[in-house]
Amino acid sequence: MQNFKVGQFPADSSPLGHIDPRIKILAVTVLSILIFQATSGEIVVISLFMGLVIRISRVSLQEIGGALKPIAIFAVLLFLLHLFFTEGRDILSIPLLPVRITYEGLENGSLIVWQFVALVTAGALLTMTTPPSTLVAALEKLLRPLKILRVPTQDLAVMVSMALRFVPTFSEEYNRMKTARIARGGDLRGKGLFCKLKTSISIVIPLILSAFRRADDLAAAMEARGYARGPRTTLRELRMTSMDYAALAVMVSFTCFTIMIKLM
Amino acid sequence: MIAFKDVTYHYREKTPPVLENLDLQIREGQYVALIGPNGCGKTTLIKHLNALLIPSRGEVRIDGMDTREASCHRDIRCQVGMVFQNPDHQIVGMSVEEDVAFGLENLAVPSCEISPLVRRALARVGMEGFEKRAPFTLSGGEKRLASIAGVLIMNPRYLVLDEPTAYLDPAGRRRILGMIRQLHREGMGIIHVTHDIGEVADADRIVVMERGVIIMDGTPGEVCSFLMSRDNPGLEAPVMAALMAKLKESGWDLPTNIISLEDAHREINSCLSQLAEMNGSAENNHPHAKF
Repeated sequence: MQNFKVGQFPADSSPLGHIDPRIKILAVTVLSILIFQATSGEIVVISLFMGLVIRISRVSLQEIGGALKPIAIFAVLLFLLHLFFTEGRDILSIPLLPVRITYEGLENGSLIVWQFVALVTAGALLTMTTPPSTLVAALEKLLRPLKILRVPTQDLAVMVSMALRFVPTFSEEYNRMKTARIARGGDLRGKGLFCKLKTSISIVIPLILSAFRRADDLAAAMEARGYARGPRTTLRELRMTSMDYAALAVMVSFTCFTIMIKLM
Repeated sequence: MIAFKDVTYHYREKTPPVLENLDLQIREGQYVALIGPNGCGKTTLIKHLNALLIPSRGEVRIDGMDTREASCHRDIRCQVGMVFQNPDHQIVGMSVEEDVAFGLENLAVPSCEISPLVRRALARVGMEGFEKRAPFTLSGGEKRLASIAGVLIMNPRYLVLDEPTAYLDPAGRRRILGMIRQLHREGMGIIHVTHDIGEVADADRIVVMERGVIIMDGTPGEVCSFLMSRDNPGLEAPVMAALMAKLKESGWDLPTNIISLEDAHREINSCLSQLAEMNGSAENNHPHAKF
């Protein structure tokens, strides 16, 4: 939890930080669809494009690595599942066990993991180059058409914003509770899954209860400052610039190019 | 004018009332302190000022607007700014400027007008240059000032502060109290909830509450005498008043309704001058001259 970076966006130093967040959200959405549909040839093209974007964004590979770290175990599991349980031509069969390593399993596992890593990298790039508040404002603008269906888009955006705002606060509180337990002689270094689970629950449950109390206070504070259903404005109005249109054009061109490769 | 008329409030039906038949009037520009032991209904009372709570019986009017009318709530919340006890529970923005802007966003003020007003509100509380800072990187005093700026930006006539100096170090406490005095001098009505009567010596009035009713409403001096005259398990008489009472018991002719250090210093000095005049050079022989 200490390494959780959402809501703790530092100075806006990346050139991608100046691009309208609506374009970035749309680009990540389109990119995600392309990644999911990609074959092994196409994923190489998409990865090269993403590599170029990472280079332009000035986000370091270490930072990208940091974002990928939490999903590493999941990615390995995904690879092993495909490797051992895909039907096809045998590379290796293990005697007495109902598992076989096949060429198809190796290919599928590699592709799935590659897609998964590309997807998480795209999401990380978006959050690393966009302040959360701007991201929420963009989300609200993009969801605005849903107002016709009476979806409370403004409330949804404020909810997301509150959730992000309280991530560092809860992280601080989690650490405080952990320290308080250690100070009273609690051992939090227990080994074994059951022991770790027990320790986490003993901190997470009071944390959830405290979150409910905070939610009550926060609702009162928001109401006291005039928050209600009705028209709202935002501190910063999102406006498209020529740079945003250029970014949009690049994204559209790349999408068309990838679709053409697929059709060929 | 804020007017409470025969206000009774229950959090749940069939439970004892938290406020009972309460009458209170606060004029515009007045500095009113609200004191009382824990659970006496201070916070419940101030939540009525902002229409966060609606009386179970009776009425609360803010500049003529009835808090029971939902259509008045937005205007009432513009007139009465509320700063809660714990700033961590009320800061909603991911940066100081976003938090300060929140009230104006709710009032649908055009985006281009918000930024200059945010800068002005932060300058008013002495927090220029804090615009981009994340709230969780601020000190306790700075968080409190940011919360006040977030309320001041809505240009209220009355500012309600619930224990604004709680959890602060002496420097932070002085800064907040100085800010409150300055806002009062600028003409803003202040409703200041506290346990420490010593920090509201400058108030125009002090209202003392106990078990949901007002048991005393008077000037700081009057309230001080009142507290000295009775045993209050939940409230302490000011240290200066207690010191004056001890000196009086020892034969000094001093008033006991003193709250601030400055007033105590002035009274003791004046008493010493009188003694010097009366006794001339024999002052050194006075039984209390060692003091």
